[in-house]
Amino acid sequence: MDETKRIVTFLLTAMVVMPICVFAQRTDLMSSGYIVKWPNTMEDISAGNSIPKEEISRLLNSLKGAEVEPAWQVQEFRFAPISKGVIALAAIVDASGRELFYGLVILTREGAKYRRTLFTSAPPHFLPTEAVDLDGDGVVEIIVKEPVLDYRGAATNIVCWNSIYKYEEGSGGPVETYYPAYYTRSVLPYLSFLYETALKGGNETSARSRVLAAEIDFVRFKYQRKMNDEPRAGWDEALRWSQSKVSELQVLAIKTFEDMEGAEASERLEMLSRSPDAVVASRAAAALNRLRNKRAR
Amino acid sequence: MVNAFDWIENTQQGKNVYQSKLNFVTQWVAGQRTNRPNLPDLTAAQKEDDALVFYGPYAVQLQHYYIPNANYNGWIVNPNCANGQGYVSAVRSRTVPN
Repeated sequence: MDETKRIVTFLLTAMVVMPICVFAQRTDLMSSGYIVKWPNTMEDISAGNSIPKEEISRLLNSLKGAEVEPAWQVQEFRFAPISKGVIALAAIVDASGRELFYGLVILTREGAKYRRTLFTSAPPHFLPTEAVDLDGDGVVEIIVKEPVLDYRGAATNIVCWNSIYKYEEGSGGPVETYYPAYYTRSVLPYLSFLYETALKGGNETSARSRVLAAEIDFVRFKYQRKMNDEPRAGWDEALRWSQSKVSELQVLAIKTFEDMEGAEASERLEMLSRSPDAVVASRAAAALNRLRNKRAR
Repeated sequence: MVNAFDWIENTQQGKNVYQSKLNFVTQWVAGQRTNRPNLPDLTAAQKEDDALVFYGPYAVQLQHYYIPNANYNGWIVNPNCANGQGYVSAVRSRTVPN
């Protein structure tokens, strides 16, 4: 693979590639009275990327749907081909008014309207590494950095599970096995490096260190389950986390059990749904609901 | 000497941002209640919850803390707002130091 196409990541990564007809998370078809010069061909993209950021911000804020929305702030944007003949706008946005930039917007044109897809993707951002052609086929894949644990202000470690989305008409099966070389070359070594430098030699017994170590392990185990076909990877750790008094570790257990599915995992989620910690209990109950809905489909 | 950072100003800006979120929530609720006479107003505490969701990083998900029920005669906790609700719980669990 061309070295120039390698992604430089700053965070822990593991990837799942999911080809889907439309992107996941939230998608709306919207109208706008504001016009920007949308690139129609690959040759026009450079000019599109030179559009002042304020115009892109005005475009995003002019999109009208069924409900009133908060104001968006754009951190950066770029136009890129997400499918043959489809040029999309990718933008990093914030809707909190506090420059938290946890949003990734993908905008495509559909006739006179726009299809807007919203992802929650954690900072820091560098769009050329998040809307990137991973396999040299001339279209970009979208990397979404899903934080493993919720935002906790200054205590947030921002360890992420990276999902990859590919825009395709007609969905096939999951394709996370398409990029194992990337993971083995870049991600796994970085995991080890982070573990050694951030945790060894410091206060390894502090609560924050334990949470960071668990977040690193969570990502590693999720990769093993998805990419190495090891469906039980992380089970013992999840059991330990579920019995911890630290609610962040219990949340990691909930996410692991939900990912594993199965009767045994559901039993563990049932137990956690009875936790005296309201956050843990509600998270576990919500995970159980999602599993039940999935089985019912 | 010019201050590099002013805590008082920062706090005031935060207050202004939060107030703008409260205004946004009030406007959104009013929109939901238009032509729905049986839908009650949210309580002050519920509006605070919703404003906090949009004050945090998960504002980008555009999911409100509460949404109208199927009959539009009450409000339910939005099942699609787990991240935002978690943020609100975390904020509310912080006690203000004396």
